[in-house]
Amino acid sequence: MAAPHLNTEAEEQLQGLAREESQFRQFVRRFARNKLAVVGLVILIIFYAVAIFAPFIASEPLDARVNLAERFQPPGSPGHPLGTDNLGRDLLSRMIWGSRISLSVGFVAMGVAVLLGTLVGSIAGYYGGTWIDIILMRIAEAIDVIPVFFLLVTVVSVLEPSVYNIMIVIGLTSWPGLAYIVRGQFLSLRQRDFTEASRAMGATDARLIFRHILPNAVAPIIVSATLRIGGAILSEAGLSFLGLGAPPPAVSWGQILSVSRTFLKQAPWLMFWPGLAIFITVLAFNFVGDGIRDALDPKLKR
Amino acid sequence: MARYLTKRILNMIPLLFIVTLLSFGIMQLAPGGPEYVILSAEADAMSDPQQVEALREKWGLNDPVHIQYFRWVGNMLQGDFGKSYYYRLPVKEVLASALPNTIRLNFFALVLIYAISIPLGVISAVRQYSKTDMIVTATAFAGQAAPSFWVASLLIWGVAMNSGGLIPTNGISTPGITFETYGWLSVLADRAKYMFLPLIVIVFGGLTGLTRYMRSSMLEVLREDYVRTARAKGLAEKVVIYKHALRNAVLPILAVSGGLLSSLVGGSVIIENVFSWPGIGRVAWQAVNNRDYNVSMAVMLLSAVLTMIGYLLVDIAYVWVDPRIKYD
Amino acid sequence: MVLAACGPKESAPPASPGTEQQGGTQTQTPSTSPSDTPSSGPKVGGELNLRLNQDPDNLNPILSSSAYGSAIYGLVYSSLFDFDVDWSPKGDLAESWDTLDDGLTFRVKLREGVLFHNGEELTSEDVVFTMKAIKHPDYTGPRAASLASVEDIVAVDRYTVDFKLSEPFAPIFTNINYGILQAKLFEGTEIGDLENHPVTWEPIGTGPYKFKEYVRGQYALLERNPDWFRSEEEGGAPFIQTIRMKVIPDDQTALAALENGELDVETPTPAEVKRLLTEYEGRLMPVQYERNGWGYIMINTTKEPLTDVRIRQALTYALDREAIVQGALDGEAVVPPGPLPPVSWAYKPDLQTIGYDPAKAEQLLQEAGFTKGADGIYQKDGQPLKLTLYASSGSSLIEALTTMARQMWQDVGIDVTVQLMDFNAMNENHLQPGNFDMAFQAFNLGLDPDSLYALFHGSLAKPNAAGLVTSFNRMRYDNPEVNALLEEGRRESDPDKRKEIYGEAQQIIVNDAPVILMYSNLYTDFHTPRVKGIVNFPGAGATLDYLYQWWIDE
Repeated sequence: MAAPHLNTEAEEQLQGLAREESQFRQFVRRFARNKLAVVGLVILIIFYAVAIFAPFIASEPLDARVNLAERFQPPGSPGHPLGTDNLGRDLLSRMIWGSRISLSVGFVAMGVAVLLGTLVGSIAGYYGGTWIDIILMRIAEAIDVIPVFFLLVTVVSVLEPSVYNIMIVIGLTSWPGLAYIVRGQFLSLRQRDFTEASRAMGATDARLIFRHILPNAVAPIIVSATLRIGGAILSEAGLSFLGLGAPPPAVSWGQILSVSRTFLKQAPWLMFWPGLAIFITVLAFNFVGDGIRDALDPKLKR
Repeated sequence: MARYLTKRILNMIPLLFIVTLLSFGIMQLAPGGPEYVILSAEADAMSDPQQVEALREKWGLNDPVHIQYFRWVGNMLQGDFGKSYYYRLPVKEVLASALPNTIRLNFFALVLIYAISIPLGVISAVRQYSKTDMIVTATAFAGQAAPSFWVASLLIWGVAMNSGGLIPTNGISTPGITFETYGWLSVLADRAKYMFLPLIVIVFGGLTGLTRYMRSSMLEVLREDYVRTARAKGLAEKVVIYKHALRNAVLPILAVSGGLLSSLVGGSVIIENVFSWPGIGRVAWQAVNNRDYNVSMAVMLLSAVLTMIGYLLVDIAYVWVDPRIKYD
Repeated sequence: MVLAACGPKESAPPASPGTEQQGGTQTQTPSTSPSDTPSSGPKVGGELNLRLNQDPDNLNPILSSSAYGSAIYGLVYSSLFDFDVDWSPKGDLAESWDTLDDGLTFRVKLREGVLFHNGEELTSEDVVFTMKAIKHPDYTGPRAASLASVEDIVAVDRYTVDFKLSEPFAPIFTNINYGILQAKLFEGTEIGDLENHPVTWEPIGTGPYKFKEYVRGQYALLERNPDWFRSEEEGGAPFIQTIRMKVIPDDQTALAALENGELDVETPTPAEVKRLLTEYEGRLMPVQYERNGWGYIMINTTKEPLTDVRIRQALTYALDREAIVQGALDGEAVVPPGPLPPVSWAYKPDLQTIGYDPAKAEQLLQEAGFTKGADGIYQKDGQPLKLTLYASSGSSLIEALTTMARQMWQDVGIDVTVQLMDFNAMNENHLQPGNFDMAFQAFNLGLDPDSLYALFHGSLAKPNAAGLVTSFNRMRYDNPEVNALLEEGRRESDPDKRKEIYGEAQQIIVNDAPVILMYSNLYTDFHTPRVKGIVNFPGAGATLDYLYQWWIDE
């Protein structure tokens, strides 16, 4: 390059935008080719719409009246398409309300994890090999080497129970995986030409991280986070099974599921539907995450 | 490589230190202690605050936190994990029988997961975007998507209860069936039938990640130059895939076993409770319930050490596989 | 099946709600009268499969504090007394007993020729050693307080023991009734180190079963003791050759194991009882009984506005407990008429209780100066009547119970928030520091009405230096009248007078409403038909205390 940097900042941004635009279209096209991913996305959109509009969809309010006359109505009963629970409450309504917690657990927990993981991972990766890297990675590994569920169970059982505590603790225990990904990305990216070039131009560390390296690491972060949202939803269900889930009157799918185990033989549908809802949601997240990965991975161009 | 290895192992020392801080710190979050769990059995005993204090004093729970911490770490360096308050036994004895049971179950699970996910991943990669790929992807994802206790319950009531007594609902072995009395074949069959349902749940849940990982690893390898060269040379596709590509694609897959093992062990809290499998997950859960600090801390530390060894292997494999990553 | 005592957390009967406490004291029993008369008569042999919910904490009768420990050591050790199905004491190791003229010496004459499983004879020295170990300052187990009124234990001769009391103590039969250890085995062992002695995990007693094996996490194995000292008078008992207790933590798995024939006895959750009764008619035999204890809501009597007895009564009047029993327990329970259940000899049938009367509840609130706000919630000085109810998490029963109670309170205008949480965390963060309005727990009573002392005596309501109330009187309830009656009940030895005293105490407690008694379970133990001779003990069902009478017909 004989005449470096004649471009102004604005021009650079414009070009960047154009490039992003075409990249985005490419991404959409590739994503759309993955049928499972599209199906997953549609399911998620429907589920989230249901969660958002729960007050308009659910036939009973969140804190529905106990109705002993209608206990254990099987699916298909008048007014109760999925039947009723042990207190005569409409199962479908409870599941619609429950979707709010179950679906946000994944997002909030992952938000916490992505934030922490990206921060720690990029700092560690940027200073790869130095003492900063070593300390940060040791902390990440320390959290990572203790089986997550042991950690979750121990912490949640000593804390005051609340949905938020559960979400945050799940997030706090699941960031190291993301930190590794981000760090790994840095380690291989920082040696590539454009980083070297920018540094030669005198770019500061912060500018380098946030303007040049991080955007390149976004793809794997999104993929990994999407795939882990499902894991967070399952963690909440697992905690519910041990009696550590979201406390009533809050309701989540995991909680309905674990309470329903008591009535497995008496009212099998109580366990079937919420289990299925979790199953479909996690599956959908995994399909979508997988689709995003395939669509973003430039190496997979055909 | 040897230098890196030494450095990496030395790095495990501060890591261990952080793990001890973490395990110890979490226990400090709990406001009360094991003394209440032990004494609350008897209404009269709870009425006597002196007794509560005497126990705390005896166990050293009234000492300053840092003294308790250093005493714990110091004892551990001498191989003493302390005493289980609840069982009134050395922690080592509480874990001694549980740990092998958990390792045994998860070892077989791990082997099965690899045995199933590698071929699935390969098929999926070789026939990328085909109907087969879609079916494999969907099945693999289905495994991880279901809550394990949900699957476990369905299996107990759906399979064990309808097996005419062939498949037991709980436990680890039939009492009396030993090598001496029945011979190894009966023992093998007996242990297998107890392991059957828990294994299904664990393997089903563990397939997803590996199958997907195997698929992308295989896809990557198939694009490498040497595979292209092999193809260009006119070698049969089968030879290309199974002789050249597979070997290289499997390496990174083997390296994730450490992390996989860690998540399997974590999941054992639920699996072992549902199937009455006498392992570390159940010990961990009981320890939490009984505020049995020393057991909880030891479980976390021990499982951490196991996983650390796994991760060490991952790191080595990464350096080996991806020469772009340099460590010093 | 109630496994002797009740553990601190998990209930011994898996059916009950997660949080159990042991009420009075230990009951180790057996007695007479098999419930179903066998046609062919008992015979020796067979293996019985029982469930242990968790691993036992240890197998030492004076150290263990879990139901799972006592299920095992209860069969291996003998204690001084047994309790008949009418709850009256009868001799086990004791041949006879008497209170001497001074009223402060309780003299027990032991049977002669009782052998430990290692062949050595049990003597008064063993009884003295066991009791003194409990009273030793270095003792670390939970039983010391039960012996508080026993000042000294003296071996008068080889077979006679005197308990020296500081004051007359009527409930002595239950309070000194612990498995007797063999003194000789502990020679040279410091009492503080008792737990490290091998016998803690390999018990050697004088009971109907010998300890054979315990595999942590899996099972405990006991073997028939053919030389049991009561074998002859009990017609050759015990009969079952081996007892295998399998550790099965999960209730649903245990139920599956029962239906699958892998367990011989199990207490299912209330929701399953009706199904098992019909589906397994003739294939699983029911043993039905009322629990000697209850689930209850404790009210913090020292916290505003709950210091006002009218508010506490209003909270009670507002609850339709019959409906709650239907909704939360499938009708497999009764609303307790008072603190002592009908099964107790001190039950007071003419007790005036607080029933369901929402209008009365509102009237009481108004009398206490509350007015109904626009939102339907009562308020006073601009402060709405908002309360928090704590309960432990992880039980569908508790979830249903608290949901229904909350809605019923809402209906009369009391805004109650329910907080479900880990049992230990609830105790540590809220109940002991008094940082709560109401809390749900369960309590198992002993055979003696003195069980009420641990809950309702005011001396136990005082916070310690750290501000904690560690006793079970977490209501911090202190009524001098009740205190006096409970003390008198301990001193009085005449059963009729005691009945009167406890009747009076019960009436005051009901009126003061420091607790809302929610339910006493109607448990149904199911057992396989091959097990015969099961005794239905009032309040405890197919208790293992009578297991020596069981036999297997195959």
